[in-house]
Amino acid sequence: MIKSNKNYIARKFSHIYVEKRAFDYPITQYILNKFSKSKVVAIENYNEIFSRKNQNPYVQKLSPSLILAEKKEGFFYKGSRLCHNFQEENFYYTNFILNCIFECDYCYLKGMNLSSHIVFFVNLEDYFEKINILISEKNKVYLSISYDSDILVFEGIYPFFNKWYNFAKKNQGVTIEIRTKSANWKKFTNYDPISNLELSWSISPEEVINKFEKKTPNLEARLTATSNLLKKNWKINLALDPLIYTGKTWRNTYYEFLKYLVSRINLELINSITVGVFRIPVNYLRRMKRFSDSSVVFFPYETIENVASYPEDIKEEMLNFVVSFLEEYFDSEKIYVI
Amino acid sequence: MIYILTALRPEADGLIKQYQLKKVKDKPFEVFSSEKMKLVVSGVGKINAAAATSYILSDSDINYNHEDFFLNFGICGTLKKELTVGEMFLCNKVLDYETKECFFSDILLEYDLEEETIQSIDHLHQKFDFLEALVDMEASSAFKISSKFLNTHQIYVVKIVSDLAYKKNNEKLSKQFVLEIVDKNINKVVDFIDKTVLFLKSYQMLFQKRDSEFIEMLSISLNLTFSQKEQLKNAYCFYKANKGCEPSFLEEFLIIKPKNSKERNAIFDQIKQKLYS
Repeated sequence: MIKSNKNYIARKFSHIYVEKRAFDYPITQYILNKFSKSKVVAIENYNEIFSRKNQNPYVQKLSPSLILAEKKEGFFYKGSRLCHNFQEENFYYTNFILNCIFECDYCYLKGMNLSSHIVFFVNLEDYFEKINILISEKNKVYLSISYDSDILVFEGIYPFFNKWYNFAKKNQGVTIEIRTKSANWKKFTNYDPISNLELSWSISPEEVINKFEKKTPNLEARLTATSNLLKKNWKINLALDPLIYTGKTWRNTYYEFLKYLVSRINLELINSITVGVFRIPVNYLRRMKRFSDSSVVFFPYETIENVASYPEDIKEEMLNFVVSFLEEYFDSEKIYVI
Repeated sequence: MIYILTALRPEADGLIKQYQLKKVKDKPFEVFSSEKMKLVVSGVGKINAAAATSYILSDSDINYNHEDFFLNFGICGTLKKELTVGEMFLCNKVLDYETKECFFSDILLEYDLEEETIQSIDHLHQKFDFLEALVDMEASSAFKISSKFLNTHQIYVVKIVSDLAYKKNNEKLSKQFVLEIVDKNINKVVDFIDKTVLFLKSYQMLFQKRDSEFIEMLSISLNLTFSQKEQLKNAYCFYKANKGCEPSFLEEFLIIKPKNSKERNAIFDQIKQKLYS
């Protein structure tokens, strides 16, 4: 879609919009100091920018702005039926960051959000307070903190991980899951692994990464990260999700990928594996079609109960193929199929 | 197409000369144009600006205007003592003083322009608070109306400080003075316009007007149902995204006239299969 990559494109976060209430938070001050050359614009409410109806999220990806806001309500949500719950009854997710700098063509964020600008909610302490109340009500909570973003890619801007690590360490009632495609494994060597903090690496065949997961680390980098952290006893999940149908050659693509995976990673050390084919609420897909230039968006999906996904035969074939392969190397009870 | 709105004629004269625009309309608004640009002189105030914005943008093809952009250009007052007369700013926030509604351009390029915020106000003679750095009487309504036609990266406000509004002396500015301060900044405005044009040209939507026209033609020729036409559009996009080119083989189907719906459906299935393969 973008044919030109001229150097006059503004750098990422050339503009930072800050809610007036958010200025006093230490995170805001930390970030504004870090981006001293950015234009800072005071706003009343992050939705003034984020929820404008006439945005083109695909063009915004060229130079996303940063929005610093204060979260007022909705500090956590019950997990979606389209996400895996790891058979955890009290499965929740939280979104203190909205949007991502990776460009995965199939990502539901492009259909869900009206904007590609990145939002940081800077009142993390309020999140911790509300989640503590939830833990005391439920005793045990499984909390995904990286669903509406890949939070680890923002570590260079603010050390969010450190905050959540310390929170998990103090609260054994919560298990935190961080899902990522990043290759940022060295960061974790500064920390000791803890049993209630899991890292879930999303992995795909190189062909899928090259074609549909732009700006993300390649497979090798992701597997290197996984492998190094397994050696240091981190609790690691793998997410082969979404499986993408790449045409008639998909079987070969995924066979080579799975073969490579088992040669690089000792699966016995993996905590769990989730497998799922691409699926998306149909209204998100409809919006993505307005701007996208990716074939993954225009595949003739079938819609059941407002969720678009591959026709049943393709879906079943892909899941069976991948799961059967994995079962030869990995405890089938720890493979979660969506 | 580049759409420009100025409130007053002296604000427009520099651009009219620079882009060799010809006067094409006198009423209800003065309009000057060339092949690639339309400039409207709205008159002072938010209502005039809203009406004139709607007037020139109504020509824009709303589904295929990704290369178009709108610029509200003109003079303004400063409410900030640090700013001086003659300085030009790209406005990164436009506040409507009366409704408190805010508008923001998505500034995706590095421009050689300083940025400031602006508030648009109904009457300069009234008592008002200084909420933003600059003050004018058109930007917010022009932005609001252009937002119905264009995306946030296609709408901009560029203003030159013509008076120290914080002094509230409401001195009348001479035409000559306005011409001079615009003239001093004209190269920067041209650079701003050129950069934006170049950028928007480099951005192409997958499904373009010519694709839509072709789908329409083929649908009529094959007597496709509404649902089939929608499916054809999706399959066409899949092919174009996948192969990086238009499915030229479809032209063969333009001369086929199915005799009945059974034959039409068979041809349609054949087309879909080819596009998705």
